[in-house]
Amino acid sequence: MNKLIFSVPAVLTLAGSSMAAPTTPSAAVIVQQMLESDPWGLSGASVAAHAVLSDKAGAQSELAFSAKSRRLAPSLAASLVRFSAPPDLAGAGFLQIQKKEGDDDRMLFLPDLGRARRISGNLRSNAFMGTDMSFADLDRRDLRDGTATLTGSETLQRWDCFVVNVVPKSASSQYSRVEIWVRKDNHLPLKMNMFDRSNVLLKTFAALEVKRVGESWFISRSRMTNVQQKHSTELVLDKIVTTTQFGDEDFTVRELEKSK
Amino acid sequence: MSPPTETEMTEVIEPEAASAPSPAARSASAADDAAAPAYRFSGWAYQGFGSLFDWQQDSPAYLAVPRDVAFSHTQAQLRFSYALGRKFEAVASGSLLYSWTYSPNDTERQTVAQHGAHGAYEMRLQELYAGVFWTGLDLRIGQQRVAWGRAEALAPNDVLNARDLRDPFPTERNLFHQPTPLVRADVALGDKSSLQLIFAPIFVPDKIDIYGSNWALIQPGAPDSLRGFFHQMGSLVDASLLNEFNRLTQQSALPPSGVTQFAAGTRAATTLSGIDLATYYYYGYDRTPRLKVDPAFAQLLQSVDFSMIRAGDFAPLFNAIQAGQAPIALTYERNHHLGADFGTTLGPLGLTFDLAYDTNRGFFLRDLTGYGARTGELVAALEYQTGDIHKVLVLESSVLHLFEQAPPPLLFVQQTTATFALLARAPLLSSLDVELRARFSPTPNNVVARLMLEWRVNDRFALRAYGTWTAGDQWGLGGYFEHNSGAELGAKVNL
Repeated sequence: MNKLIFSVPAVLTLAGSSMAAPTTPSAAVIVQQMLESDPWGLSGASVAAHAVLSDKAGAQSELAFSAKSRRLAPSLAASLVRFSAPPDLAGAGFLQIQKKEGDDDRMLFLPDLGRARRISGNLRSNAFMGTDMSFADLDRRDLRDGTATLTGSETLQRWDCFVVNVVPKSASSQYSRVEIWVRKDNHLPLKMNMFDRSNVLLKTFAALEVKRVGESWFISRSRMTNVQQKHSTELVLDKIVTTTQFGDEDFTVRELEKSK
Repeated sequence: MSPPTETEMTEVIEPEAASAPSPAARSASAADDAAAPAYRFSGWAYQGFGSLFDWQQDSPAYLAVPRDVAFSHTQAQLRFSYALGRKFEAVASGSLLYSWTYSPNDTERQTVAQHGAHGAYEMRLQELYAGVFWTGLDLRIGQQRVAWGRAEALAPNDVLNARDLRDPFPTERNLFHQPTPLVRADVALGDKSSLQLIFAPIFVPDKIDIYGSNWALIQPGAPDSLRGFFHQMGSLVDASLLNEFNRLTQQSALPPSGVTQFAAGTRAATTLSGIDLATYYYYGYDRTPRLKVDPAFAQLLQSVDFSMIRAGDFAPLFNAIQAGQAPIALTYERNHHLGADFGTTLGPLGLTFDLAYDTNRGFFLRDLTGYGARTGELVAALEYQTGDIHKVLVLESSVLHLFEQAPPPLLFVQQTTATFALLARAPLLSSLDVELRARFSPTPNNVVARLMLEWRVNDRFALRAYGTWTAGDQWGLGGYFEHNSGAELGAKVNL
């Protein structure tokens, strides 16, 4: 086994040292720290991952992909995802360049077409490649631009968390609000509840495994569940390599259209 | 340790992190990872059995055009790609195709003109190219597919590669476009703009059957003289040589090879405020063959009574060939292609326009001889985007205009032709999809449509049922091929 399971006392020691901080940050700072923590390696990493999709009948399908990303500015990133499974999606690519002002650039490349095409910002509430993650969940704009309120602290399992309520700014967001449990020590979101525009629970997110690679923490296994459709996606980051080596040229349409 | 649940999260740390490498060391490691060689094998195999709805054969027998009323397609494709980070890539792919067809035959011999049951193999090299990449410059050399323009079905700017027009609705879309030998250079001009240069040293024509198959050019609506002539010629050739017969006929007058016969093009593209723009110029051969029949030979064909043909009737044909003439030939002509496109998003829609101008675009007259014209074409496309490849809705509309004064009556088009194309795909049940590809035009009034039901048994195996419908005016695409309505059942395996 090439992984070392943290012992509970060690974790408690870590958590305890973090809890020693005398002042409570504001909700906006907590959300900013959470976004900056980059829990899925979307801002300066090379990741190999797979996702298992399960529907209410129990049928499962698998999606496999690799992704590379580059931090553009605080909480903004460029990322390029390349799919290798299922077979009808193999070779497809998705390029996203986040912008502070205006809509993000999103381009989709399908090998059968041989060319990339622009994807509408209105797609943000749609499922990303059939998963339970929406495009909005990937671009995190609802969290980046939303209004955050600190509603309290809670111990989730054995980790102290801030509980933050975020109301997306955009009226076109699929969510009316998002509840987030953010770990106090490493700023990872351990749990999220997303409510639809009618304020009914739509999706839940749960971190199942977190991993430290070097000095960075990642959510290496997580589950997003659409409770209304009884459909879930378990996302596993199989390999994570943090890097600052990627440049602008790695996130262009030319790069997206390469045959990898 | 019990499996983790949503209320029991585990925390792990990678062992190398214990030594806490410096950021520089981690970056180097990541760079190595990004530059690591990557191989990918992919492929698929398809087996389909089909039948036309109309089994009645063409008549009279001496003018009959073969119709394959039952058929089977066996197709397989393998693709291999190798990438070395951002520096290099190499791609090779090929297909093996076997088709079996049956058309009722009242003679013992199986010929191109009267098939009976016969099968034919076809091996096809699809892609074979290598790419070398530098900062700001990508260079690819070899047989490759380069898609120009934004429209998918009605794509006037997609002029670089050949097409397989022997089936306009192939079960696998990547069998339609034929990669061709090209040198391609892409130059980055800043973050948002690029320039592409294309050089094609070898001309590759579209694959078209002239005679003997269901989508061949010569159909019951063709002139009696050509039907009779090809029936006689086809009767000399064994049915197993149908592909060779058509290749020989179609390539009777290819452009001469050599560097002076090159084709070249350029594409300039940029992005402005979420709008993608591109312009195109291509100087090369129009891929539609121009059938030319020597007037004297045409007159001879008109005078022949094919119901009582005699050996001496074709003596002038062989005399002309011996004299170095080409009484009947398919040629290819130069064309300047200018194009532009633009794409953006509007609400949930993807919106694209393609504009094309050609100086010598090829068409068929109703006697099947070739006709070149200056043309302009505008294609507007709307795509309702869902983000799911199993939910697709694309509508394309095209207006094609020939800038010629009173062009003669043409096959498939008129002086101004409006055409619409639809691609719709949606899940009926969790693993059952329905897909409709249709192309229809009010002038000439016709439709060609293919409906598919696909049951995805799992990620690698699918069962399919197709229904094809062709109908319309005699000189429209659907009307000219009206006998091709039929059904097919198939299975596909993804490797």
